[in-house]
Amino acid sequence: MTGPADDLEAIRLTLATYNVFGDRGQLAKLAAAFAPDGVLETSTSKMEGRDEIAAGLGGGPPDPSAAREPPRRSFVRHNQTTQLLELTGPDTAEGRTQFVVYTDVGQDHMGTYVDRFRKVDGQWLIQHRRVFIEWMHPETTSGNRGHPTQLAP
Amino acid sequence: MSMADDLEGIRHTLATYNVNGDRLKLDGLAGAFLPDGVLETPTGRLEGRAAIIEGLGGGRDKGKPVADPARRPSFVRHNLTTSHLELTGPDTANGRTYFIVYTDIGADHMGYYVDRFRKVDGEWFIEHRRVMMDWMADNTLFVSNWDSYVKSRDELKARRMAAKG
Repeated sequence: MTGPADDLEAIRLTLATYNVFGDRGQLAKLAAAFAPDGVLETSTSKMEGRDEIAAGLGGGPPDPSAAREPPRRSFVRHNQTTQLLELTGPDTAEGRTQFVVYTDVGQDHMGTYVDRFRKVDGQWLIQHRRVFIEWMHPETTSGNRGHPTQLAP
Repeated sequence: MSMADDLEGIRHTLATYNVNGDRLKLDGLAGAFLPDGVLETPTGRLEGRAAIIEGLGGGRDKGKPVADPARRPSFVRHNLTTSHLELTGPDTANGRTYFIVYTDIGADHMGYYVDRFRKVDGEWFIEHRRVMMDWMADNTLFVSNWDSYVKSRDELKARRMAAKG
């Protein structure tokens, strides 16, 4: 690690790790983008630590007695767009990254991640992520369907 | 400063413009420009930070009655996508960056910025930005831009057809 550009590239790798693995349903790898005690907050839930994040996003262990609902989407792709990253110290950074999600309905929803990052043993990890869903298609496949949107400040 | 650090500085400036603009923080947006920076849009040319703030905020639809409040966006998000950045000297750079704007209707319009940047005291600023509109949804909530969009679109189309003919 030398200049700020190297740190920023490492942060971008972490940001991409979250979405690339999340979109493939590999939630343990998504959770590894977080610090061990990292926090993921949405408008409806707060998950602390990698295990809780992986379990929380996966909807918990499957209940065989529950009626199986047909999947609402065959794919999901989070496209990261506008990104404002700021190094706040040698091992800390803040970020704001917008995303536009495509699924079978086309543009499905969009929002903003508001993040704090921490460098741990040379690796940049998400210490705290707050997810704001700012727009949803009426037929969104998102789990936030039916919940109000929330604008990132 | 390495080349990568310069490009990071420019990216930070690009994001500063939109993140502030989408939150109506026009001081923050104008701070992305040089003090005498220029912003050219399909609807006008603004020179200097004060004119940019006035033109983007105070100037928009000033005095016009709002026919239908539901036709105004309750939020705006400019999503920057493809970005082609080139350093042209130690303190100068050119850029072309696409954007897709979301409002209550979803994808509302899209276009690209044609930029010249300049580095002053180690910080990159926009010296000149030209905003080009490629597409607007038929139900865009940016109604005040519709006429100028259609005009420039038709002119551009005619030019392209003539070049082919």
